[in-house]
Amino acid sequence: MDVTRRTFLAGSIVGACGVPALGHAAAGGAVSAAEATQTADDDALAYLSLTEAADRIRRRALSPVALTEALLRRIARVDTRVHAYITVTADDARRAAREAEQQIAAGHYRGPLHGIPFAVKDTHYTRGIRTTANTPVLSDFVPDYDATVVARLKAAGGVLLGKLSLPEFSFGGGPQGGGEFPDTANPWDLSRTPGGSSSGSGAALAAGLVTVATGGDTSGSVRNPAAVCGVVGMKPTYGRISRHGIVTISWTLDHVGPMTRSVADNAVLLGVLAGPDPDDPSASTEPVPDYTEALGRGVRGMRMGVPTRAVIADYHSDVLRAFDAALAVFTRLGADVREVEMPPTLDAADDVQTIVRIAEAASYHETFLAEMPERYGRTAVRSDVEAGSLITATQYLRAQKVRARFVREFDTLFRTFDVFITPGFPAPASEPARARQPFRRVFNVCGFPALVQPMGVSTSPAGLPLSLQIAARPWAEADIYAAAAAFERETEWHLRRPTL
Amino acid sequence: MPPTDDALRQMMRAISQANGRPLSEERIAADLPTYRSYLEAIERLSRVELPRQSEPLPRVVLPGRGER
Repeated sequence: MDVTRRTFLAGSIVGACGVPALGHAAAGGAVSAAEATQTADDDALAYLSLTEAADRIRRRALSPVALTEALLRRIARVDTRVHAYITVTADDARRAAREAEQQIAAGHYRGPLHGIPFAVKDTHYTRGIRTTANTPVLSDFVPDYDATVVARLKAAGGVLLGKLSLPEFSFGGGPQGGGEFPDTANPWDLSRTPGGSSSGSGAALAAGLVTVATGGDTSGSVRNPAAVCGVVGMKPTYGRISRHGIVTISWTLDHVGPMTRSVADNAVLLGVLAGPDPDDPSASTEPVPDYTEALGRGVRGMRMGVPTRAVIADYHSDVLRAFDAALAVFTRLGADVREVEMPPTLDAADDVQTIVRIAEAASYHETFLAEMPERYGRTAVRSDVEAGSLITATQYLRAQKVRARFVREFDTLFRTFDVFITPGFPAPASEPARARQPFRRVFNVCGFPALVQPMGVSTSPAGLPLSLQIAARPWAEADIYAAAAAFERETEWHLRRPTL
Repeated sequence: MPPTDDALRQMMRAISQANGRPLSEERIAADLPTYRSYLEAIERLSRVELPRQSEPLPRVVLPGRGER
């Protein structure tokens, strides 16, 4: 559905009254034909891919204001049940969308993010907008500058829709209650976890509440919610995206990553986010390629390593079935798929991550623990960081020495193939996942890039997204996108939408 | 032989005191299971063989000329 400027003008008059009251459309009253048409139009716009929306905006066949208004209406209608957003910046979004439209109309098109609504995890500093990390400790914190990733998205012409939810301080693999704001629900089944910690990002994308989003990944926190919400999440190479202006968990494990509904969108978004940053010494000067050039490359002749079946034998049977089907797709497309043996220190990697993460987190939290310990939420965060502050320097450095050995061994292994493929999550959302090796935190420990994407749907329980993970050597995100795009072209899992 | 809860409580008192932020008995009780889990992870890591000259990550990386 194309939206003309005339439609845009009509929409902005309605929108000028402000965001409709939460629950407005779900109040149970009679729905007129006009309202039903409006809702259908909004839903179509809400699930537009970045690449399709950008193409229409560039051709002036879609108004950024109309797209923004459609998403704001859908947020008002749906997010009372999903709780993906902590803060909706409706007025600022309308202003930014109008500016984008005027600039594009004047011939100043900036690129594929121009006029595109985006949202960020509420750990990303936003100038003049509260940044809470879903903790009472930061509930009144309003930064006076933007995180580098926010600044880059704005500079590219993006329209900030709001701040997305997470467990308190990004701790935990999913919402567990006790934070400052309500827990996010999984749009595929509101009784199930959306994963975490970038819970709101995964849920907002699956629910059609934003076009693109970002998340943070210290223990799998981009990939977990992307996997169980059925969207695409990339944890890029450590240093690929600046961490400046992101509420910290662990300086040497934290990553920022793009989250989208398609692989192509993810490649575009990473291209905008990646690059050096004088404000973050860990941000690399490694050249940023045009990741979209890899999308059509295919996988013929690509060497794909997979773990031996014994390593993943304890995964959910639906996951293993879908994983085998995914490998069959790659084989059919001409990839060289072979099992590889894991290095000796793989089993120690999660312990490394546990100790490094919590020792660094304890240091970050030192001031909070000293000055306002009673302000922590009703979660395990305070206990976790208090106990972490008892780890000694030699214990921390022991973990970092084992980490160095693990990175060397993983680097050697990853030179024997182009990409490494595993299931993206050991079980469907909220199903028991007692996997001995879930292949999540290992990629934070080594810093190698890893992406998850939809690879199927569960049968028991029925209808939940299943996910594929593709990893590679440092700076080889393009190889990951090549493989992921090839898989996406052959399947339709990324096109499924939850009923809300 | 894993340390007893009493031994752990003593360690927690001593280390938090040395850190300059002594934990209350109530906080020690709340944090003890988590601390024990960290020590178990550290114990497993101590079993990983490392060369005498092994160095930890991260290493010091200085900016080049002209970089901030």
